[in-house]
Amino acid sequence: MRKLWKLAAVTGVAVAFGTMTSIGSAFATPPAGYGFDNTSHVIVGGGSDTTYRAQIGLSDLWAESGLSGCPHVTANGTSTNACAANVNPETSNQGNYQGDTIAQANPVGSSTGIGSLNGSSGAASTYQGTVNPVPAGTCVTATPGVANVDFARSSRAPKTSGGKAPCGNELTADTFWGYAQDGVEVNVFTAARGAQVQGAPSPALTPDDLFHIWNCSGGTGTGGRVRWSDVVPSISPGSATDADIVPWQMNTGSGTFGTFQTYIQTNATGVPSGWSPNAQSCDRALASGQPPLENDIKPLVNDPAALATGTSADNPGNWIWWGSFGVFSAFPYTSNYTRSGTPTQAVAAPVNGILPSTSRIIANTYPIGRTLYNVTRKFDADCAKTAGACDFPGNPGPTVGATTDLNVTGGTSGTSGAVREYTRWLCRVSTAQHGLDPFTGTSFFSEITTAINNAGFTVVPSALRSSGSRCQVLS
Amino acid sequence: MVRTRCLAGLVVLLSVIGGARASASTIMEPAHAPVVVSVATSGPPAAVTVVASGFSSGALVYVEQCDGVAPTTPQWSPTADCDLGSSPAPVIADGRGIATFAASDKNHAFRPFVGESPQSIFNCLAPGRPAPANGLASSTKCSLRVSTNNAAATGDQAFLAVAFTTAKAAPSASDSTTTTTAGRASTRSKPSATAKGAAASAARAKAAARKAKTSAPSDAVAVLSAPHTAQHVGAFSLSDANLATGYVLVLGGLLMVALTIALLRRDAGRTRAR
Repeated sequence: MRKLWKLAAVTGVAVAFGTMTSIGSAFATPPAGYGFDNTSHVIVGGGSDTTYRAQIGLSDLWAESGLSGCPHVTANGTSTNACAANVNPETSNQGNYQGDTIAQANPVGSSTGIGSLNGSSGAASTYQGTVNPVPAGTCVTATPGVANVDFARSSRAPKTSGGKAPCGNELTADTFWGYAQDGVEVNVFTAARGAQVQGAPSPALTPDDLFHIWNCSGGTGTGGRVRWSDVVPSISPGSATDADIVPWQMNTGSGTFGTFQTYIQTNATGVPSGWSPNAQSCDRALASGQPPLENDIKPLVNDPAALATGTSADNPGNWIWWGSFGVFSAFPYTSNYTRSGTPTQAVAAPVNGILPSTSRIIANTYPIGRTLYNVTRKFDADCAKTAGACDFPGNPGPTVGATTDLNVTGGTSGTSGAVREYTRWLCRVSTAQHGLDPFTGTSFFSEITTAINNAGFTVVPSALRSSGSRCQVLS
Repeated sequence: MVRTRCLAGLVVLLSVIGGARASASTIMEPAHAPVVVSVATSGPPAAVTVVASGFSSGALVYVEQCDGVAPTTPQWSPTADCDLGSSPAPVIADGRGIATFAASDKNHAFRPFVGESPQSIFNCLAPGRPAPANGLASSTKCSLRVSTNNAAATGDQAFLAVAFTTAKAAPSASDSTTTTTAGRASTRSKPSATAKGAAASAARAKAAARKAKTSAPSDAVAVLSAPHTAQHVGAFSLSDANLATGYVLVLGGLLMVALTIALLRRDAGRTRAR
């Protein structure tokens, strides 16, 4: 008799459990208010070289956050790695809930990445190494059957005319999510030259000085070129360390190029419309005729048949360039290189008497400061708005414990939803909105800051952030 | 004869090792404990001159403020335990490998912060001061870090403990004693996951943090204690294990030289006797 009772009890529990499980399977839905659809997708970012390393670090963290997301189907079959039957309602882990795959395509420059995002070069244009076509949308050209990036890395601000979107205004097509801050440094190539230019009295180097150097004009050198003695008073004209300054070009697709060009165009006097720091006779390209990619001095140093000394154009002591302060600082192999026993080192020159530093970059007081962006198509990820302006506090997102989540609008499924959730995660404002790294137990809010710092950048200055977010959102 | 050559080789090797140990980078200034930096009634602490040696000539050297956690602690990282937002422009080390961050230099002056760090990574507080309600870890034993890279741990990084105190409570001898090995003595008090999760809304927390930040340094002074670091120290700071090891090795080398000479003399004496 006792055995029968036990059998009945066990059977009852089993039936009850089975019923609950089947109900869970039948009615389980992805977390409400998010872009998840309980299936795993692949999204690929591309564009900026400057932000490549930072975004790789951030993508790493986003991928890790999937470990605390939904339980996954682990058996081989047609739905392997999809979210398995789950509790109802499902609750977001404030991270990569459904275990999307994220990758960063090889860098080709910010503008090229934004162009790929928007299909700006036409339906047949593609960005190799990506997987998804551009869908149709406002100010976006669809690329059916041809792959392009799902989000763009950009180290320059959006262009509202003449930009890399079919309609010209990138903010009609896209939203720019500024998540980090950097400065563009103007640099010379030896410590000795660095000491000379850093010793020049303020406000060296002025925007006019920079314009003249890259415009090959306004100086006392060959054909009006600028010589070191023109901008550094401690160097006597014709002395051993005086020579024509050799300005280098840069890949025009890069945000670093665009930021510097815009700074000169905006701040120097007498700059012709459409002026480029690559377009004058003294602006040096590589021997191949191509401008070098940004943020790495090695291709420049290895370019001449042999490095020289004195007034030679092949003496790195006479060179000047520009690049990312963050990248050059965090990764010395990009900025400190010895060829055949000759050491070269990118050393920042002052701009308007101010040297780049992270304390000035976070305070937004360096003259060529810049925000670094994650760029999304508007229909994938956009800010919640009031009267057409981003307004996160006025439009709270889903409830998260005792607070509310950042409200990012956009895709509700597929790769569009995946882009939306990566963007939301990147811009959440506090630990209260974030989950914990399953490996370290540290809040992803802190780890995002660390990943940004690891790449040499700072977080966005508070004065530039959109209220309720850690990002500067331009829409 | 073979024995003599072996001994001589060992002496040279140990001397090189000992010498290398002794030439590690060192913060030379501030050099005397305590260095007191007055804090204006309304504003951040005044800039401090920092001088460090032991770098390669021409190297770019950085200084930043850290939470005081020892770099030997597991998971320590300069980007998690320091705030590069506190770092002025890097200095070019001179021909002797010395980097000078002069307080009077607008580009290179180092300005310590009190309260929330520039990127909201941690708080540096004077003892007895309430921690801002920002959910961040707080430390009363912060430090300066001088190195050739703010974004990665380096072999040349050197630390200097910083203690903040109020103007009314003059720093005592015990203050500097307790911070002599600040890097190791500091406690990491990061909030628990539960506490973080239960934190108030971000907007409220930020507002509270700002409020606390503006009120905290009103009558505080920063005390920079004598050179002491977790990894690199002054040339005569025998409390540092690495440096002490270097001196022991050098002394060992000298003893071996003496022993070698004694053996050679003995051998010579025997030869003469024969």
